[in-house]
Amino acid sequence: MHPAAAKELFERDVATLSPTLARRRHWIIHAVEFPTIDCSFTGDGRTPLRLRFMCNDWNDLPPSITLHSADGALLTAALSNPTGVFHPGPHPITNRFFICMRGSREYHTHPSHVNDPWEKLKGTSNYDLGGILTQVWRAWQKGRG
Amino acid sequence: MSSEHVGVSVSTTAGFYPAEGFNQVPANQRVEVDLDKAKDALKIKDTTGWVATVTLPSGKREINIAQSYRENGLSGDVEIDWGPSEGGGG
Repeated sequence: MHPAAAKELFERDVATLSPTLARRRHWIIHAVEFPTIDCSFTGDGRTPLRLRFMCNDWNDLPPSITLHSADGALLTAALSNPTGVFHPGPHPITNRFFICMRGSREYHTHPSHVNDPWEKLKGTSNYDLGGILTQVWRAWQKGRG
Repeated sequence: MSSEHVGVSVSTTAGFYPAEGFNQVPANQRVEVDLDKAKDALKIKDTTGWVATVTLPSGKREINIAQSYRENGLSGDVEIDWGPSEGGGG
């Protein structure tokens, strides 16, 4: 993907990630500037989870997603979550905790899922940037702590 | 607002329906009627597998879109969050 085209697609996707949506969903949108989305999920009684989506080559590649504490440090402990989306072990390439879900770059590059190509998903409503954020958020809401 | 009507606002990552405020609709109208209108207005291509949730004082809960607002126990101004369900983990 040409960087200018990737930026245009990115900006189209994030244009509707508005302060009103963030308020309703209890998200904190720290920054949205190509190629990065920096967003925290919060909720009553929950420890916030901060995510950074690295969207270089969007949407030829899905976003690479890293997990952080509220202050921006990379997570050093696995999240307690029943969905399987927040993988409790390190990714074989990044050696970090990762989002093991269709739509994350770490999922599609994991040896267990390389036969589930991103090309089948890209461009669909569930797998634009807002759709991927929403899916991760809903998984996070199933957890505790 | 009469108890025969509810105010409805649908939020998605593609935008809001209506863009501002709440639409007044009959309380006995099925939720999916407004979601279909939101899909058209916001030019959402595919909503297969999407879920609708509301946040009440008791917490967030999924609603049955084939039922009416009244059957879902909703009244007053209703903010519906609509989007894909959680992704399957690997």
